[in-house]
Amino acid sequence: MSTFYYAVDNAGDCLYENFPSNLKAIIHAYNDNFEPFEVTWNGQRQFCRLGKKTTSEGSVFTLTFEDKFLRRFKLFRELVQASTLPLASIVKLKTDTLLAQVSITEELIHNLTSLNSYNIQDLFALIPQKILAQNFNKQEEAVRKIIEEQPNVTSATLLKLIKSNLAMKVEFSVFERTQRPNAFVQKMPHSIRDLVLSILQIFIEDFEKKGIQVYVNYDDVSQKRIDLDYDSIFVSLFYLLENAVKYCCRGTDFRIIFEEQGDTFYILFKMISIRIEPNEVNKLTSQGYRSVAAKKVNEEGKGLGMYRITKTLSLNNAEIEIFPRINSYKEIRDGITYEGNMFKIKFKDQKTWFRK
Amino acid sequence: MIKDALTSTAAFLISLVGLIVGIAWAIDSRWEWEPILVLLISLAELLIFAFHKANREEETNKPTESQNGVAPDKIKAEASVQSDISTAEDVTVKHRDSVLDMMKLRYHILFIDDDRKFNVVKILRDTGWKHTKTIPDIKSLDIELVKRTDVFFVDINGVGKLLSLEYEGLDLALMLKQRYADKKVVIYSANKNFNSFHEAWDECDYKLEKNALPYQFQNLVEEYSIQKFIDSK
Repeated sequence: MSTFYYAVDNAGDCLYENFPSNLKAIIHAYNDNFEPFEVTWNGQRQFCRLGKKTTSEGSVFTLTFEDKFLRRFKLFRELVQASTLPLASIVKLKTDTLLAQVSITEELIHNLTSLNSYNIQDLFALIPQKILAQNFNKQEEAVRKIIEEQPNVTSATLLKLIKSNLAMKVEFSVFERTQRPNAFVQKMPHSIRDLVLSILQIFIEDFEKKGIQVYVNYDDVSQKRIDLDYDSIFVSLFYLLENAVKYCCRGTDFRIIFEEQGDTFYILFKMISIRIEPNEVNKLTSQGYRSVAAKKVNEEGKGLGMYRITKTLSLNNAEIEIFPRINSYKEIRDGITYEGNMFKIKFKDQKTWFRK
Repeated sequence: MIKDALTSTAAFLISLVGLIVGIAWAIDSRWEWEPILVLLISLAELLIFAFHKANREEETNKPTESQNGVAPDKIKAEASVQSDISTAEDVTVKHRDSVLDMMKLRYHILFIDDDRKFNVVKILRDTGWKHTKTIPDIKSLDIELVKRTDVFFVDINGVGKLLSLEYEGLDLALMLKQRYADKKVVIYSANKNFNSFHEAWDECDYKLEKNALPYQFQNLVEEYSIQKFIDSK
Protein backbone atom coordinates (compact mmCIF):
# COMPACT_ATOMS: atom_id res chain seq x y z
CA MET A 1 0.00 0.00 0.00
CA SER A 2 1.40 3.37 -0.92
CA THR A 3 -1.55 5.73 -0.35
CA PHE A 4 -2.19 7.05 3.14
CA TYR A 5 -4.88 9.09 4.91
CA TYR A 6 -4.92 11.37 7.95
CA ALA A 7 -8.37 12.56 9.06
CA VAL A 8 -9.00 15.21 11.71
CA ASP A 9 -12.26 16.63 13.06
CA ASN A 10 -13.07 20.32 13.31
CA ALA A 11 -11.35 20.53 16.70
CA GLY A 12 -8.15 19.19 15.12
CA ASP A 13 -8.37 15.83 16.92
CA CYS A 14 -7.27 12.83 14.87
CA LEU A 15 -10.17 10.59 13.77
CA TYR A 16 -8.11 7.98 11.94
CA GLU A 17 -4.75 7.85 10.18
CA ASN A 18 -2.31 5.41 8.64
CA PHE A 19 0.52 7.79 7.67
CA PRO A 20 4.09 6.43 7.91
CA SER A 21 5.37 7.49 11.32
CA ASN A 22 8.22 9.60 9.92
CA LEU A 23 5.88 11.53 7.62
CA LYS A 24 3.12 12.58 10.02
CA ALA A 25 4.66 16.02 10.46
CA ILE A 26 4.27 16.93 6.80
CA ILE A 27 0.59 17.76 7.27
CA HIS A 28 1.72 20.83 9.20
CA ALA A 29 3.72 21.98 6.14
CA TYR A 30 0.81 21.47 3.73
CA ASN A 31 0.70 24.20 1.08
CA ASP A 32 -2.33 23.20 -1.05
CA ASN A 33 -0.55 23.10 -4.45
CA PHE A 34 -0.81 19.29 -4.92
CA GLU A 35 2.64 19.32 -6.54
CA PRO A 36 4.90 16.23 -6.18
CA PHE A 37 7.78 16.57 -3.74
CA GLU A 38 10.58 14.34 -2.47
CA VAL A 39 10.63 12.62 0.95
CA THR A 40 12.36 9.66 2.55
CA TRP A 41 10.08 6.62 2.67
CA ASN A 42 11.09 3.00 3.25
CA GLY A 43 14.69 4.15 3.50
CA GLN A 44 14.70 5.74 0.04
CA ARG A 45 14.19 9.22 -1.35
CA GLN A 46 10.90 9.08 -3.27
CA PHE A 47 8.41 11.49 -4.85
CA CYS A 48 4.90 11.82 -3.39
CA ARG A 49 1.83 14.03 -3.61
CA LEU A 50 -0.04 15.46 -0.60
CA GLY A 51 -3.63 16.72 -0.87
CA LYS A 52 -6.27 17.93 1.56
CA LYS A 53 -10.04 18.23 1.46
CA THR A 54 -12.11 19.96 4.12
CA THR A 55 -15.84 19.42 4.77
CA SER A 56 -18.18 20.57 7.55
CA GLU A 57 -17.14 17.47 9.59
CA GLY A 58 -13.38 17.93 9.31
CA SER A 59 -10.42 17.47 6.95
CA VAL A 60 -8.66 14.53 5.32
CA PHE A 61 -5.03 14.63 4.14
CA THR A 62 -4.14 12.18 1.37
CA LEU A 63 -0.53 11.16 0.78
CA THR A 64 0.36 8.94 -2.16
CA PHE A 65 3.47 7.38 -3.65
CA GLU A 66 1.53 5.56 -6.40
CA ASP A 67 2.89 6.22 -9.85
CA LYS A 68 -0.51 6.82 -11.56
CA PHE A 69 -1.43 9.56 -9.05
CA LEU A 70 2.02 11.11 -9.35
CA ARG A 71 1.80 11.19 -13.12
CA ARG A 72 -1.85 12.37 -13.47
CA PHE A 73 -2.95 15.38 -11.42
CA LYS A 74 -6.65 14.81 -12.35
CA LEU A 75 -6.64 11.31 -10.90
CA PHE A 76 -5.01 12.56 -7.69
CA ARG A 77 -7.57 15.36 -7.33
CA GLU A 78 -10.40 12.77 -7.63
CA LEU A 79 -8.68 10.63 -5.00
CA VAL A 80 -8.57 13.62 -2.64
CA GLN A 81 -12.22 14.46 -3.37
CA ALA A 82 -13.28 10.88 -2.54
CA SER A 83 -11.25 10.80 0.67
CA THR A 84 -13.89 12.60 2.74
CA LEU A 85 -16.76 10.25 1.82
CA PRO A 86 -16.61 8.18 5.08
CA LEU A 87 -15.89 11.25 7.23
CA ALA A 88 -19.49 12.06 8.21
CA SER A 89 -20.17 8.46 9.36
CA ILE A 90 -16.95 8.32 11.35
CA VAL A 91 -17.61 11.65 13.07
CA LYS A 92 -21.15 10.48 13.93
CA LEU A 93 -19.81 7.17 15.30
CA LYS A 94 -17.30 9.05 17.43
CA THR A 95 -19.94 11.44 18.76
CA ASP A 96 -22.40 8.62 19.53
CA THR A 97 -19.72 6.55 21.29
CA LEU A 98 -18.64 9.56 23.30
CA LEU A 99 -22.21 10.37 24.33
CA ALA A 100 -22.88 6.74 25.28
CA GLN A 101 -19.70 6.67 27.33
CA VAL A 102 -20.56 9.95 29.00
CA SER A 103 -24.02 8.60 29.82
CA ILE A 104 -22.54 5.41 31.35
CA THR A 105 -19.99 7.39 33.32
CA GLU A 106 -22.65 9.86 34.45
CA GLU A 107 -24.82 6.99 35.66
CA LEU A 108 -21.86 5.56 37.59
CA ILE A 109 -21.10 8.96 39.10
CA HIS A 110 -24.79 9.48 39.93
CA ASN A 111 -25.09 6.10 41.68
CA LEU A 112 -21.82 6.52 43.56
CA THR A 113 -22.74 10.05 44.59
CA SER A 114 -26.09 8.82 45.93
CA LEU A 115 -24.44 6.03 47.94
CA ASN A 116 -21.76 8.41 49.19
CA SER A 117 -24.46 10.85 50.30
CA TYR A 118 -26.26 8.04 52.21
CA ASN A 119 -22.98 7.28 53.99
CA ILE A 120 -22.43 10.92 54.90
CA GLN A 121 -26.03 11.42 56.06
CA ASP A 122 -26.11 8.20 58.10
CA LEU A 123 -22.83 9.04 59.81
CA PHE A 124 -23.69 12.63 60.63
CA ALA A 125 -27.19 11.66 61.72
CA LEU A 126 -25.49 9.54 64.40
CA ILE A 127 -22.58 11.88 65.11
CA PRO A 128 -23.65 15.45 64.36
CA GLN A 129 -20.99 17.58 62.69
CA LYS A 130 -21.64 20.22 65.30
CA ILE A 131 -20.57 17.86 68.10
CA LEU A 132 -17.33 17.05 66.28
CA ALA A 133 -16.68 20.73 65.74
CA GLN A 134 -17.42 21.63 69.35
CA ASN A 135 -15.19 18.84 70.64
CA PHE A 136 -12.34 18.96 68.17
CA ASN A 137 -9.79 18.32 70.95
CA LYS A 138 -11.63 15.28 72.31
CA GLN A 139 -13.49 13.85 69.34
CA GLU A 140 -12.95 10.23 70.34
CA GLU A 141 -14.44 10.86 73.75
CA ALA A 142 -17.45 12.62 72.24
CA VAL A 143 -18.05 9.78 69.79
CA ARG A 144 -17.66 7.15 72.54
CA LYS A 145 -20.31 8.97 74.57
CA ILE A 146 -22.74 8.93 71.64
CA ILE A 147 -22.14 5.20 71.10
CA GLU A 148 -22.74 4.48 74.79
CA GLU A 149 -25.91 6.55 74.81
CA GLN A 150 -27.29 5.21 71.52
CA PRO A 151 -26.04 1.63 71.03
CA ASN A 152 -29.02 0.59 68.91
CA VAL A 153 -28.80 3.53 66.53
CA THR A 154 -25.03 2.94 66.29
CA SER A 155 -25.45 -0.70 65.27
CA ALA A 156 -28.16 0.20 62.77
CA THR A 157 -25.93 2.92 61.29
CA LEU A 158 -22.96 0.57 61.01
CA LEU A 159 -25.07 -2.03 59.23
CA LYS A 160 -26.33 0.63 56.82
CA LEU A 161 -22.73 1.70 56.17
CA ILE A 162 -21.71 -1.87 55.41
CA LYS A 163 -24.55 -2.18 52.94
CA SER A 164 -23.96 1.11 51.13
CA ASN A 165 -20.21 0.53 50.94
CA LEU A 166 -20.77 -2.89 49.42
CA ALA A 167 -23.33 -1.35 47.06
CA MET A 168 -20.54 0.99 45.94
CA LYS A 169 -18.35 -2.01 45.29
CA VAL A 170 -21.18 -3.49 43.22
CA GLU A 171 -21.34 -0.29 41.14
CA PHE A 172 -17.62 -0.55 40.36
CA SER A 173 -17.91 -4.25 39.55
CA VAL A 174 -20.89 -3.68 37.26
CA PHE A 175 -18.99 -0.96 35.45
CA GLU A 176 -15.95 -3.21 35.05
CA ARG A 177 -17.92 -6.24 33.97
CA THR A 178 -20.67 -4.85 31.80
CA GLN A 179 -19.14 -1.76 30.24
CA ARG A 180 -15.57 -2.69 29.52
CA PRO A 181 -14.62 -5.03 26.69
CA ASN A 182 -12.98 -8.32 27.75
CA ALA A 183 -14.43 -8.47 31.26
CA PHE A 184 -11.87 -9.63 33.77
CA VAL A 185 -12.95 -13.00 35.21
CA GLN A 186 -10.97 -15.21 37.59
CA LYS A 187 -12.41 -18.33 39.15
CA MET A 188 -11.46 -19.71 42.54
CA PRO A 189 -13.06 -22.49 44.62
CA HIS A 190 -15.61 -21.19 47.13
CA SER A 191 -17.87 -22.96 49.59
CA ILE A 192 -21.21 -22.18 47.99
CA ARG A 193 -23.05 -21.77 51.29
CA ASP A 194 -20.37 -19.50 52.78
CA LEU A 195 -20.38 -17.46 49.63
CA VAL A 196 -24.17 -17.01 49.65
CA LEU A 197 -24.07 -16.13 53.36
CA SER A 198 -21.31 -13.54 52.78
CA ILE A 199 -23.73 -11.62 50.57
CA LEU A 200 -27.01 -12.50 52.30
CA GLN A 201 -25.78 -11.06 55.62
CA ILE A 202 -25.89 -7.58 54.07
CA PHE A 203 -29.65 -7.85 53.65
CA ILE A 204 -30.64 -9.70 56.81
CA GLU A 205 -31.64 -6.52 58.61
CA ASP A 206 -33.82 -5.47 55.64
CA PHE A 207 -35.53 -8.87 55.63
CA GLU A 208 -36.10 -8.60 59.38
CA LYS A 209 -37.66 -5.16 59.02
CA LYS A 210 -40.24 -6.69 56.67
CA GLY A 211 -40.77 -9.64 58.99
CA ILE A 212 -39.43 -12.05 56.40
CA GLN A 213 -37.90 -15.21 57.81
CA VAL A 214 -34.83 -16.34 55.86
CA TYR A 215 -33.82 -20.01 55.68
CA VAL A 216 -30.61 -21.28 54.11
CA ASN A 217 -30.35 -25.03 53.66
CA TYR A 218 -27.53 -26.79 55.44
CA ASP A 219 -26.84 -30.23 54.01
CA ASP A 220 -24.16 -32.11 52.07
CA VAL A 221 -24.91 -30.26 48.84
CA SER A 222 -24.57 -26.87 50.53
CA GLN A 223 -21.01 -27.85 51.52
CA LYS A 224 -19.85 -28.11 47.90
CA ARG A 225 -17.00 -25.98 46.72
CA ILE A 226 -17.52 -24.38 43.36
CA ASP A 227 -15.13 -22.49 41.10
CA LEU A 228 -16.55 -19.00 40.74
CA ASP A 229 -15.53 -15.47 39.91
CA TYR A 230 -16.48 -13.90 43.22
CA ASP A 231 -16.90 -10.32 42.02
CA SER A 232 -19.34 -11.40 39.29
CA ILE A 233 -21.42 -13.69 41.51
CA PHE A 234 -21.39 -10.97 44.16
CA VAL A 235 -23.11 -8.57 41.73
CA SER A 236 -25.60 -11.26 40.61
CA LEU A 237 -26.61 -12.20 44.15
CA PHE A 238 -26.57 -8.60 45.39
CA TYR A 239 -29.19 -7.58 42.82
CA LEU A 240 -31.22 -10.76 43.33
CA LEU A 241 -31.38 -10.30 47.10
CA GLU A 242 -31.98 -6.57 46.80
CA ASN A 243 -34.96 -7.32 44.53
CA ALA A 244 -36.17 -9.97 46.98
CA VAL A 245 -36.15 -7.42 49.81
CA LYS A 246 -38.07 -4.95 47.62
CA TYR A 247 -40.66 -7.31 46.19
CA CYS A 248 -41.25 -10.05 48.80
CA CYS A 249 -44.47 -10.03 50.81
CA ARG A 250 -44.13 -8.90 54.43
CA GLY A 251 -44.23 -11.63 57.07
CA THR A 252 -43.47 -14.53 54.75
CA ASP A 253 -40.60 -17.00 54.34
CA PHE A 254 -37.63 -16.73 52.00
CA ARG A 255 -35.79 -19.98 51.35
CA ILE A 256 -32.42 -20.66 49.74
CA ILE A 257 -31.88 -24.26 48.70
CA PHE A 258 -28.88 -25.90 47.03
CA GLU A 259 -29.35 -28.73 44.56
CA GLU A 260 -27.15 -30.87 42.41
CA GLN A 261 -28.43 -32.81 39.42
CA GLY A 262 -25.94 -34.65 37.26
CA ASP A 263 -23.41 -32.15 36.01
CA THR A 264 -25.41 -29.07 37.00
CA PHE A 265 -25.52 -27.16 40.28
CA TYR A 266 -28.48 -25.04 41.31
CA ILE A 267 -29.26 -22.38 43.87
CA LEU A 268 -33.00 -22.02 44.38
CA PHE A 269 -34.57 -18.88 45.84
CA LYS A 270 -38.15 -19.61 46.88
CA MET A 271 -40.29 -16.70 48.03
CA ILE A 272 -43.70 -15.10 48.21
CA SER A 273 -43.25 -12.09 45.96
CA ILE A 274 -45.12 -9.87 43.51
CA ARG A 275 -47.05 -11.62 40.76
CA ILE A 276 -45.19 -12.34 37.55
CA GLU A 277 -47.52 -12.41 34.54
CA PRO A 278 -47.01 -15.39 32.19
CA ASN A 279 -45.93 -13.08 29.37
CA GLU A 280 -43.39 -11.35 31.63
CA VAL A 281 -41.22 -14.36 32.41
CA ASN A 282 -39.02 -13.92 29.35
CA LYS A 283 -39.04 -10.13 29.46
CA LEU A 284 -37.87 -9.70 33.05
CA THR A 285 -34.21 -10.10 32.14
CA SER A 286 -34.36 -7.55 29.30
CA GLN A 287 -32.57 -4.26 29.86
CA GLY A 288 -34.99 -1.54 30.95
CA TYR A 289 -38.03 -3.82 31.40
CA ARG A 290 -40.07 -3.50 34.61
CA SER A 291 -43.01 -5.75 35.43
CA VAL A 292 -46.52 -4.35 35.95
CA ALA A 293 -46.47 -5.26 39.64
CA ALA A 294 -42.94 -3.82 40.14
CA LYS A 295 -44.16 -0.46 38.84
CA LYS A 296 -47.03 -0.55 41.36
CA VAL A 297 -44.66 -1.26 44.26
CA ASN A 298 -42.06 1.29 43.26
CA GLU A 299 -42.43 3.92 40.56
CA GLU A 300 -38.71 4.53 40.44
CA GLY A 301 -36.25 2.03 39.04
CA LYS A 302 -34.72 1.55 35.64
CA GLY A 303 -35.29 -2.15 35.09
CA LEU A 304 -31.58 -2.91 35.27
CA GLY A 305 -31.37 -5.39 38.17
CA MET A 306 -32.48 -8.58 36.40
CA TYR A 307 -30.57 -7.60 33.25
CA ARG A 308 -27.38 -7.19 35.26
CA ILE A 309 -28.00 -10.47 37.08
CA THR A 310 -28.17 -12.27 33.72
CA LYS A 311 -25.14 -10.50 32.35
CA THR A 312 -22.91 -11.14 35.36
CA LEU A 313 -24.12 -14.74 35.74
CA SER A 314 -23.02 -15.45 32.18
CA LEU A 315 -19.45 -14.61 33.27
CA ASN A 316 -19.72 -17.61 35.60
CA ASN A 317 -21.25 -19.79 32.87
CA ALA A 318 -24.53 -19.62 34.75
CA GLU A 319 -28.06 -18.51 33.97
CA ILE A 320 -31.25 -17.68 35.82
CA GLU A 321 -34.61 -19.38 35.34
CA ILE A 322 -37.86 -17.90 36.66
CA PHE A 323 -40.71 -20.10 37.84
CA PRO A 324 -43.88 -18.17 38.76
CA ARG A 325 -46.64 -19.75 40.88
CA ILE A 326 -44.69 -22.71 42.26
CA ASN A 327 -47.51 -23.23 44.76
CA SER A 328 -51.11 -22.16 45.22
CA TYR A 329 -50.34 -19.31 47.65
CA LYS A 330 -51.99 -16.03 46.71
CA GLU A 331 -52.45 -12.88 48.72
CA ILE A 332 -53.53 -9.38 47.82
CA ARG A 333 -52.16 -6.52 49.92
CA ASP A 334 -52.65 -2.84 49.12
CA GLY A 335 -53.83 -3.81 45.65
CA ILE A 336 -50.68 -5.83 44.90
CA THR A 337 -50.88 -9.56 44.28
CA TYR A 338 -48.26 -11.78 45.91
CA GLU A 339 -47.63 -15.39 44.81
CA GLY A 340 -45.13 -18.19 45.35
CA ASN A 341 -42.24 -17.65 42.93
CA MET A 342 -38.89 -19.30 42.44
CA PHE A 343 -35.69 -17.94 40.91
CA LYS A 344 -33.25 -20.68 40.04
CA ILE A 345 -29.59 -20.03 39.29
CA LYS A 346 -28.17 -22.79 37.17
CA PHE A 347 -24.43 -23.38 36.98
CA LYS A 348 -24.14 -25.36 33.78
CA ASP A 349 -21.96 -28.31 32.78
CA GLN A 350 -19.53 -27.89 35.63
CA LYS A 351 -19.02 -31.42 36.91
CA THR A 352 -15.31 -30.79 37.35
CA TRP A 353 -16.12 -27.93 39.70
CA PHE A 354 -17.54 -30.17 42.33
CA ARG A 355 -15.43 -31.09 45.23
CA LYS A 356 -16.20 -33.58 48.01
CA MET B 1 1.49 -59.22 92.61
CA ILE B 2 0.52 -58.27 96.20
CA LYS B 3 -0.58 -54.86 94.91
CA ASP B 4 -2.83 -56.54 92.31
CA ALA B 5 -4.34 -58.80 95.01
CA LEU B 6 -4.97 -55.86 97.34
CA THR B 7 -6.61 -53.76 94.62
CA SER B 8 -8.77 -56.50 93.11
CA THR B 9 -12.55 -56.46 93.25
CA ALA B 10 -12.56 -59.79 95.18
CA ALA B 11 -10.44 -58.23 97.95
CA PHE B 12 -12.84 -55.30 98.03
CA LEU B 13 -15.88 -57.59 98.43
CA ILE B 14 -14.17 -59.73 101.13
CA SER B 15 -13.16 -56.63 103.11
CA LEU B 16 -16.72 -55.27 102.80
CA VAL B 17 -18.10 -58.51 104.21
CA GLY B 18 -15.35 -58.43 106.89
CA LEU B 19 -16.39 -54.91 107.89
CA ILE B 20 -20.09 -55.81 108.26
CA VAL B 21 -19.39 -59.08 110.10
CA GLY B 22 -16.73 -57.31 112.25
CA ILE B 23 -19.23 -54.64 113.34
CA ALA B 24 -21.86 -57.24 114.25
CA TRP B 25 -19.30 -59.41 116.11
CA ALA B 26 -17.87 -56.43 117.97
CA ILE B 27 -21.32 -55.35 119.20
CA ASP B 28 -22.20 -58.88 120.14
CA SER B 29 -18.91 -59.43 122.00
CA ARG B 30 -19.04 -55.99 123.63
CA TRP B 31 -15.96 -54.78 121.74
CA GLU B 32 -13.48 -57.63 122.31
CA TRP B 33 -10.07 -57.10 120.60
CA GLU B 34 -10.53 -59.95 117.99
CA PRO B 35 -13.53 -58.35 116.15
CA ILE B 36 -11.84 -54.92 116.38
CA LEU B 37 -8.81 -56.44 114.61
CA VAL B 38 -11.05 -57.84 111.86
CA LEU B 39 -12.69 -54.40 111.56
CA LEU B 40 -9.36 -52.57 111.25
CA ILE B 41 -7.99 -55.00 108.63
CA SER B 42 -11.18 -54.74 106.56
CA LEU B 43 -11.19 -50.95 106.83
CA ALA B 44 -7.51 -50.78 105.77
CA GLU B 45 -8.21 -52.93 102.71
CA LEU B 46 -11.19 -50.74 101.74
CA LEU B 47 -9.05 -47.58 102.01
CA ILE B 48 -6.28 -49.14 99.87
CA PHE B 49 -8.86 -50.09 97.22
CA ALA B 50 -10.51 -46.62 97.19
CA PHE B 51 -7.15 -44.79 97.03
CA HIS B 52 -5.96 -46.95 94.12
CA LYS B 53 -9.18 -46.39 92.17
CA ALA B 54 -9.00 -42.60 92.58
CA ASN B 55 -5.37 -42.62 91.36
CA ARG B 56 -6.21 -44.65 88.28
CA GLU B 57 -9.02 -42.25 87.23
CA GLU B 58 -6.73 -39.25 87.58
CA GLU B 59 -4.13 -40.88 85.36
CA THR B 60 -6.72 -41.68 82.70
CA ASN B 61 -7.88 -38.05 82.53
CA LYS B 62 -4.42 -36.51 82.58
CA PRO B 63 -3.16 -35.59 79.05
CA THR B 64 0.22 -37.16 78.54
CA GLU B 65 2.50 -34.84 76.58
CA SER B 66 5.14 -35.80 74.12
CA GLN B 67 8.64 -34.42 74.18
CA ASN B 68 7.81 -31.43 71.97
CA GLY B 69 4.86 -30.48 74.15
CA VAL B 70 2.11 -31.46 71.73
CA ALA B 71 -0.66 -33.68 73.01
CA PRO B 72 -0.49 -37.19 71.47
CA ASP B 73 -4.19 -36.93 70.59
CA LYS B 74 -3.43 -33.95 68.40
CA ILE B 75 -0.52 -35.73 66.77
CA LYS B 76 -2.77 -38.68 66.11
CA ALA B 77 -5.46 -36.47 64.57
CA GLU B 78 -2.88 -34.62 62.51
CA ALA B 79 -1.34 -37.88 61.34
CA SER B 80 -4.77 -39.10 60.38
CA VAL B 81 -5.44 -35.96 58.36
CA GLN B 82 -2.03 -36.18 56.70
CA SER B 83 -2.37 -39.81 55.72
CA ASP B 84 -5.86 -39.42 54.27
CA ILE B 85 -5.12 -36.54 51.93
CA SER B 86 -3.18 -36.74 48.72
CA THR B 87 -5.17 -34.57 46.29
CA ALA B 88 -7.29 -31.43 46.51
CA GLU B 89 -10.37 -33.60 46.02
CA ASP B 90 -9.53 -35.43 49.24
CA VAL B 91 -9.84 -32.25 51.30
CA THR B 92 -13.32 -32.81 52.58
CA VAL B 93 -15.20 -30.31 54.70
CA LYS B 94 -14.15 -32.19 57.85
CA HIS B 95 -10.50 -32.35 56.84
CA ARG B 96 -10.47 -28.81 55.58
CA ASP B 97 -10.97 -27.28 59.02
CA SER B 98 -8.25 -29.46 60.56
CA VAL B 99 -5.81 -28.68 57.75
CA LEU B 100 -6.56 -24.97 57.98
CA ASP B 101 -6.06 -24.94 61.76
CA MET B 102 -2.67 -26.52 61.17
CA MET B 103 -1.70 -24.26 58.27
CA LYS B 104 -2.68 -21.09 60.11
CA LEU B 105 0.34 -21.69 62.32
CA ARG B 106 2.68 -22.55 59.46
CA TYR B 107 1.73 -20.52 56.39
CA HIS B 108 3.63 -17.25 55.85
CA ILE B 109 1.81 -14.33 54.25
CA LEU B 110 3.53 -11.08 53.25
CA PHE B 111 1.84 -7.91 52.06
CA ILE B 112 4.05 -5.45 50.20
CA ASP B 113 2.11 -2.20 50.27
CA ASP B 114 2.97 1.37 51.17
CA ASP B 115 -0.65 2.06 52.13
CA ARG B 116 -0.71 1.92 55.91
CA LYS B 117 -4.50 2.16 56.03
CA PHE B 118 -4.96 -1.19 54.31
CA ASN B 119 -6.52 -3.29 57.06
CA VAL B 120 -6.66 -6.76 55.52
CA VAL B 121 -3.42 -7.71 57.32
CA LYS B 122 -5.07 -7.15 60.68
CA ILE B 123 -8.19 -9.04 59.59
CA LEU B 124 -6.10 -12.05 58.51
CA ARG B 125 -4.14 -12.00 61.76
CA ASP B 126 -7.37 -11.77 63.75
CA THR B 127 -8.70 -14.85 61.96
CA GLY B 128 -5.71 -16.88 63.10
CA TRP B 129 -3.12 -16.53 60.31
CA LYS B 130 -0.24 -16.04 62.73
CA HIS B 131 2.48 -15.33 60.20
CA THR B 132 0.92 -12.40 58.37
CA LYS B 133 3.18 -9.40 57.91
CA THR B 134 3.24 -6.19 55.93
CA ILE B 135 6.15 -4.08 54.70
CA PRO B 136 6.05 -0.88 52.64
CA ASP B 137 8.72 -2.07 50.18
CA ILE B 138 11.63 -4.54 49.89
CA LYS B 139 15.31 -3.86 49.33
CA SER B 140 16.19 -7.29 48.02
CA LEU B 141 14.60 -10.57 46.98
CA ASP B 142 17.08 -12.45 49.17
CA ILE B 143 16.07 -11.21 52.60
CA GLU B 144 14.96 -13.85 55.08
CA LEU B 145 11.41 -12.48 55.27
CA VAL B 146 10.95 -12.97 51.53
CA LYS B 147 12.56 -16.42 51.53
CA ARG B 148 10.21 -17.81 54.14
CA THR B 149 7.05 -16.28 52.66
CA ASP B 150 4.53 -18.62 51.04
CA VAL B 151 2.23 -16.06 49.46
CA PHE B 152 2.98 -12.45 48.49
CA PHE B 153 0.29 -9.82 48.11
CA VAL B 154 1.80 -6.99 46.10
CA ASP B 155 0.14 -3.62 45.55
CA ILE B 156 1.07 -2.47 42.06
CA ASN B 157 1.33 1.18 43.07
CA GLY B 158 3.96 2.76 45.31
CA VAL B 159 6.25 -0.26 45.82
CA GLY B 160 9.42 -1.44 44.09
CA LYS B 161 10.95 1.99 44.60
CA LEU B 162 13.85 0.67 46.71
CA LEU B 163 14.80 -1.55 43.77
CA SER B 164 14.24 1.36 41.34
CA LEU B 165 11.67 -0.59 39.36
CA GLU B 166 10.08 1.33 36.49
CA TYR B 167 6.68 -0.38 36.73
CA GLU B 168 6.73 -0.48 40.53
CA GLY B 169 4.63 -3.34 41.96
CA LEU B 170 4.15 -5.04 38.59
CA ASP B 171 7.90 -5.37 38.11
CA LEU B 172 8.32 -6.49 41.73
CA ALA B 173 5.57 -9.14 41.44
CA LEU B 174 7.10 -10.46 38.23
CA MET B 175 10.57 -10.63 39.79
CA LEU B 176 9.22 -12.49 42.83
CA LYS B 177 7.38 -15.00 40.63
CA GLN B 178 10.38 -15.55 38.39
CA ARG B 179 12.71 -15.97 41.37
CA TYR B 180 10.40 -18.11 43.49
CA ALA B 181 8.21 -20.02 41.05
CA ASP B 182 6.78 -22.27 43.77
CA LYS B 183 5.55 -19.37 45.90
CA LYS B 184 2.22 -17.69 45.19
CA VAL B 185 2.17 -14.09 44.03
CA VAL B 186 -1.06 -12.10 44.11
CA ILE B 187 -1.22 -8.57 42.76
CA TYR B 188 -3.88 -6.14 43.80
CA SER B 189 -4.65 -2.68 42.67
CA ALA B 190 -7.17 0.10 42.58
CA ASN B 191 -6.66 0.21 38.80
CA LYS B 192 -6.64 -3.09 36.97
CA ASN B 193 -5.98 -1.42 33.66
CA PHE B 194 -2.68 0.06 34.79
CA ASN B 195 -0.05 -1.11 32.28
CA SER B 196 -2.39 -3.85 31.15
CA PHE B 197 0.22 -5.34 28.81
CA HIS B 198 2.76 -5.91 31.57
CA GLU B 199 3.91 -9.54 31.81
CA ALA B 200 3.11 -9.65 35.54
CA TRP B 201 -0.65 -9.68 34.83
CA ASP B 202 -0.24 -13.08 33.14
CA GLU B 203 2.56 -14.50 35.27
CA CYS B 204 1.18 -13.87 38.74
CA ASP B 205 -1.13 -16.40 40.39
CA TYR B 206 -4.10 -14.13 41.05
CA LYS B 207 -5.28 -10.55 40.62
CA LEU B 208 -7.49 -8.81 43.13
CA GLU B 209 -9.11 -5.45 43.17
CA LYS B 210 -8.02 -3.30 46.07
CA ASN B 211 -11.65 -3.07 47.19
CA ALA B 212 -11.96 -6.89 47.33
CA LEU B 213 -13.75 -8.09 50.44
CA PRO B 214 -11.72 -9.54 53.33
CA TYR B 215 -13.61 -12.77 52.57
CA GLN B 216 -11.88 -12.88 49.15
CA PHE B 217 -8.42 -12.47 50.66
CA GLN B 218 -9.21 -15.12 53.29
CA ASN B 219 -10.56 -17.59 50.75
CA LEU B 220 -7.47 -17.14 48.59
CA VAL B 221 -5.11 -17.71 51.51
CA GLU B 222 -7.09 -20.80 52.55
CA GLU B 223 -6.94 -22.27 49.04
CA TYR B 224 -3.22 -21.65 48.65
CA SER B 225 -2.36 -22.97 52.10
CA ILE B 226 -4.31 -26.17 51.43
CA GLN B 227 -2.51 -26.46 48.11
CA LYS B 228 0.81 -26.12 49.91
CA PHE B 229 -0.23 -28.74 52.44
CA ILE B 230 -1.08 -31.17 49.63
CA ASP B 231 2.12 -30.40 47.70
CA SER B 232 4.26 -30.93 50.79
CA LYS B 233 3.04 -34.48 51.22
